[in-house]
Amino acid sequence: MHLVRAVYYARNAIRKRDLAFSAEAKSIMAAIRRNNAAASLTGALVFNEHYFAQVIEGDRYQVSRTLWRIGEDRRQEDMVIVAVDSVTRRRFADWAMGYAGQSDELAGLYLRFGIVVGFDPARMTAESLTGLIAAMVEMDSARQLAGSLADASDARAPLGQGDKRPSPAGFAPGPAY
Amino acid sequence: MLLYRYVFYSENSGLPGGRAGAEQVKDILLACSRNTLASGLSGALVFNERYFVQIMEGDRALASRTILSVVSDPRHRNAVLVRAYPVGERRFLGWTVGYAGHTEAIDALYMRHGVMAGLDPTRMNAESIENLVADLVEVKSPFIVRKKGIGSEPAPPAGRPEIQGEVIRVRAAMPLKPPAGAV
Repeated sequence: MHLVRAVYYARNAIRKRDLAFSAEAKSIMAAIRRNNAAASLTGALVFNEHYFAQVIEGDRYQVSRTLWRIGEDRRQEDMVIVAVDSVTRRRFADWAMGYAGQSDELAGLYLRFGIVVGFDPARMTAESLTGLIAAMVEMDSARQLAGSLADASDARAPLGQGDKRPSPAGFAPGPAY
Repeated sequence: MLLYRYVFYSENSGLPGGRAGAEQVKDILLACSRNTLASGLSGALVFNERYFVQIMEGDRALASRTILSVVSDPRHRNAVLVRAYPVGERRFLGWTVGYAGHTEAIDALYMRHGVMAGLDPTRMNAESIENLVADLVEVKSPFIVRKKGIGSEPAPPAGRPEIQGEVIRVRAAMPLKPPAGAV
């Protein structure tokens, strides 16, 4: 057993294939969630209309199986694997997902980790991309801990299955297992 | 464009018709000659009857696409990407394909980098795999065939005579069966 952390991004081809954005995104989330829970994988997926980017942590064989499966998913096109590295501990305790939209807080994160005020993984190093995804997850957990979910009105609807309420960045914490 | 190195292995599920060893080297070389140098990818592939171990260097987007196509090849099963990381410099300047058999010198390399005298990437970490492959490609053996030099020659069109000749020479140098005692 070798614990690794993998990071990839891919083009969001849902629209290109004339599929319903929200339904397909939900189906991708549900599949990842099922797979990751069964294979003890943790991490986070963020996406917008242009890109998917995901951090996956776990046994290197399981992580690879997941990467190859995603590589065959026509909704996630031109996958670029930006990192696979051995790690001694996980950075993500469970699995989360979120929409990389626009808000003052997210703009601050995009600038902190990248060169544009937007989600553009193709122009990021593995370290920056992992950092951005982790910060988005942390930002959201912090908000939830603070109970400040009241201003969720201008946020996207959450895409997670079975999530009770929207969170400001569209993040939905994964199931604890 | 970012220079990356990818280290991965897979199980060798053999070829249709059950060919292995020298015949497989030839097939792989043919496939690799259609590949790579002009595209900016370099690396090495070593294999035995059980495993393929591959290192690929080049632009991360192009290498990712190539790896996804390699692992979807039915000859590769249960592929595992062991490491993917940016590098400042290539370690493999051409393309080398080699059969990871057994000689005294090669067994010493397995032992230097691993826990047993044979090619078993499942029991090795990324660094050991990379170092083993780097050492193996330097071994002088008819089973290990190099195509040197990125950009030193223009991209040959498919079927160019020199390429055919190269493959035929390789074939002539190959015993039809792996040496006695091969894994």
